[in-house]
Amino acid sequence: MDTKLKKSKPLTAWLCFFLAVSIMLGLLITVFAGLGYSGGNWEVLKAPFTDYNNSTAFKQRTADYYGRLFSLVADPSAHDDDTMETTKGFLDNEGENLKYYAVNKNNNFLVQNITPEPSSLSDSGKTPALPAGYSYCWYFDGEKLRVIDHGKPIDIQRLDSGYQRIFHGYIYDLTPKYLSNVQVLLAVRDNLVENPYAHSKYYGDQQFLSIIGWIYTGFLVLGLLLLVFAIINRPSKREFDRKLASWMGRMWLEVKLLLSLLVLMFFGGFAFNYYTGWRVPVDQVLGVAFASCMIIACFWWFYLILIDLIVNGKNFFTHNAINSLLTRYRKYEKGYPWQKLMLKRAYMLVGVEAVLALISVIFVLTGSSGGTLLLAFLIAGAGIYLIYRYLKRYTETVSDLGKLMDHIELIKNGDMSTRLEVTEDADIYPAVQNLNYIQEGMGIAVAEKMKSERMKIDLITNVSHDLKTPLTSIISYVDLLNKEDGLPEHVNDYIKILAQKSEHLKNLIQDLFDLSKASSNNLALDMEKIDLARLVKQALADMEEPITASGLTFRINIPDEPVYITSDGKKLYRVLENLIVNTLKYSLSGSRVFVDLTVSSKEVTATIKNTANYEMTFDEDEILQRFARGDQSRSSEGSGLGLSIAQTFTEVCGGKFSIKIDGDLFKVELRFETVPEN
Amino acid sequence: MEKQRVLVVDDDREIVNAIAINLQNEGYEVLKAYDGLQALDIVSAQNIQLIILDVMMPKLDGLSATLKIREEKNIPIIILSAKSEDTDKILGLSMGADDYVTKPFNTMELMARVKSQLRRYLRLGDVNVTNRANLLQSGGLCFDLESHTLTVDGEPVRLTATETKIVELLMRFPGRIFPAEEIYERIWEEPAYRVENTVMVHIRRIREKIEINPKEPKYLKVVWGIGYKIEKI
Repeated sequence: MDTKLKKSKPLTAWLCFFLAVSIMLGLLITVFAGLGYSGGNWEVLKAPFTDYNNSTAFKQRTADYYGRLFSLVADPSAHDDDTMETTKGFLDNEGENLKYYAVNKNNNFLVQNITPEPSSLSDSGKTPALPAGYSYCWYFDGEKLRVIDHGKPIDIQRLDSGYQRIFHGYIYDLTPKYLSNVQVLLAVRDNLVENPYAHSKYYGDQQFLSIIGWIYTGFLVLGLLLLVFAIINRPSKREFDRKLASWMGRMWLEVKLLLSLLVLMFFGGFAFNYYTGWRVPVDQVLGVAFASCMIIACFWWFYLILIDLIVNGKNFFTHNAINSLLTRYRKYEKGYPWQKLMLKRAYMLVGVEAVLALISVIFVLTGSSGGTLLLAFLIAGAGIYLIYRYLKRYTETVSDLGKLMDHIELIKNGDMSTRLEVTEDADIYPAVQNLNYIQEGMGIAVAEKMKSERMKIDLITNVSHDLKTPLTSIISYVDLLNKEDGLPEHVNDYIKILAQKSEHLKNLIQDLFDLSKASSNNLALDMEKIDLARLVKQALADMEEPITASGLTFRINIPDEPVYITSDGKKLYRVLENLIVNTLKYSLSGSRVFVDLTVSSKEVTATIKNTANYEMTFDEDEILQRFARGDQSRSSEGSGLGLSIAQTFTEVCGGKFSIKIDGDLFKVELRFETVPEN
Repeated sequence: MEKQRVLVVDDDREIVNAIAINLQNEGYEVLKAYDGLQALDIVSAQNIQLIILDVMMPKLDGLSATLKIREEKNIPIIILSAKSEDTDKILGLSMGADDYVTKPFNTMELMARVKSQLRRYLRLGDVNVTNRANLLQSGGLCFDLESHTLTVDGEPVRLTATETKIVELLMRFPGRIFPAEEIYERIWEEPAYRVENTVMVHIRRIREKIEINPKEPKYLKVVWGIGYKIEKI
């Protein structure tokens, strides 16, 4: 119940608003109509609220009768028998309420339902004698019209007489001489009575006006109350406005335009027709009411259009027949694969354009009226609009494709977070969505991998740290054992092995620690401008002893002039040290090792080439795997991290590290960007 | 002569014991502590000539303990740590420590460092104060311009004529980096051409004579990609 009320509240509020505005409009139109009919006589508005016999309506009615009678008598030849009878019947409908006497002595024409004493008429300036119960009369004595009420003549020229603007449209262009033989007397009964045989307008007006005032007042009050209620419930009313707007929004723009045109032509024309050619406002009440309805209907139609425009905004214009057809076509074409869809669309456009062109040509050739020409223009316009839409769509698709390609490039470069956004109805939307899914999946995979990598590195850092403490004890006590005298020979051998292995373990842990630090980007760097040529020379000089001892021949080709790079010298020395140690360890004895430094315009490449003393059954990537060892057997000294450390340190120091294996030739390349000397 | 007393501080008792045994073998008297607070207590209560201090310890870590000790005493402190980064070393030395040894350490090296620190602390205090004009000094290095002799922590070092010239040159400008060519031209007084090896050989030999651990030199350093220098300490 509650919810029902709640649901119906917007409707109620809106209906109140609707009724209030309708009533107010109706009243307003009626007022204007009344004013219009009476030529702007404000007195007419007072009619319902004064004594009928004094009201403007009464005067207008009397004037109407007088006018009819006068025109009949003044120029009887202008009337045929039918109109004469109609006019007489018109007067006679009043029965007891109206007494009249009209004569034209020029042609002895006479109409009457009383016979006043001729003497009272012939004497100009005198009040004609009236039957008992009739004290109001209009009397034309051949010169001028006099209005007499209860024996007193009224100066109808005075502004306050209430007769101003009553006579409009009754000016007869007849000579005074001719009129001097015309006499017209019209007397109205004091107490108006109903005519049992016909409809008395006096009586009807009196009855009608006595209640219409109250009805109007009632409507006004009702309208105001409803308006107040509607204003209080503005939000609810607005809610219903929106609902109406959404209903209206479903209508095509073309339909709305057509309906508006029809509404204007039909209702407007109708209302306007009702306005012309009437004299007594009271007679027009029904007509005015009807015309009001028409105008109000017009008003509400345009009100609907207005809220539609306000609420739906741009959609008001975009929801049109062409758009709907295009949408439907789009839905239809979605069933096809993309290539077919795009081709089909182009063919479709050509076909539709041809048909439209044909139709408009036919219209132009066959019809000559403005209507068909206009229609032809409209069809041509629709054709042009279609081409415009097609091109617009085509441009959008091309731009979307461009975006798609850029985005693929972006993903290729490792951006996993940026999403590609295109509108949902774009032609390549499915492709974009799929690409986004792929990117998302890749992003998740990469993030997972990074996370596990980082965890591994953290673990290594912590573990290598914790390993050092017990190792310190081991090394210390092994050392103490070593100093012990008098131990058996074989025990001394054992101790020697312990010392060797614990030393090996120490190096291993240190390497592991360095590597994990470097690859987790936790290495403190001291980047400065250094001479790579000198660094290589220094490293070779520093290791001269083991190099000489190895029996290998080093062919060194390093430029004498400095080659500046920005790097961390200490780390880079570590790289070279590792590489040279590696070379010494894994080179074929007696073979040559080539150390070259080549400088190009922007880059310097340090190369170390040696011939392996074993068959390299792995590829370049495998050798760089941590813990991978050249000989795979892991029997020799070293941690197996040498190359990994070299690679990681080189990259951390801003260089590029690569390995090439060609048969027994093992080649390491370090590449750095050079910086100018100053 | 009275035995020199060394305080060994580490939360790992076995390490403390091992160091203690070695120190006793060398003839020192050893005091032991297992955290920073204990160490502070012993330092304030006893007459101690040297401290070997671990960094990561419960209650009070080695660096804070160093700061506390330095407020009152000037005794040499050797920091012993599993942290081997340069930044850790610099931090430790800047806190007031005199030397920094990374775990796992070589016993002989540690003993050599203890000896050199004690020598400097006990015997050279007066030399430091006099600071004669014809003496070039950097840390424990001392070069006599008159006699052209070098001492490390008071111990004379035998150098060849070329080595002496190199040390003199570098020690005249401690902290300045000399490229191999400059050293060569100044010492050999010949135009330098591909002299990196020649200079490096001498540098290495000097290092072996003056450094406790030539692989981690304290005084004579190679600045990779630039040149050579003697640290300004």
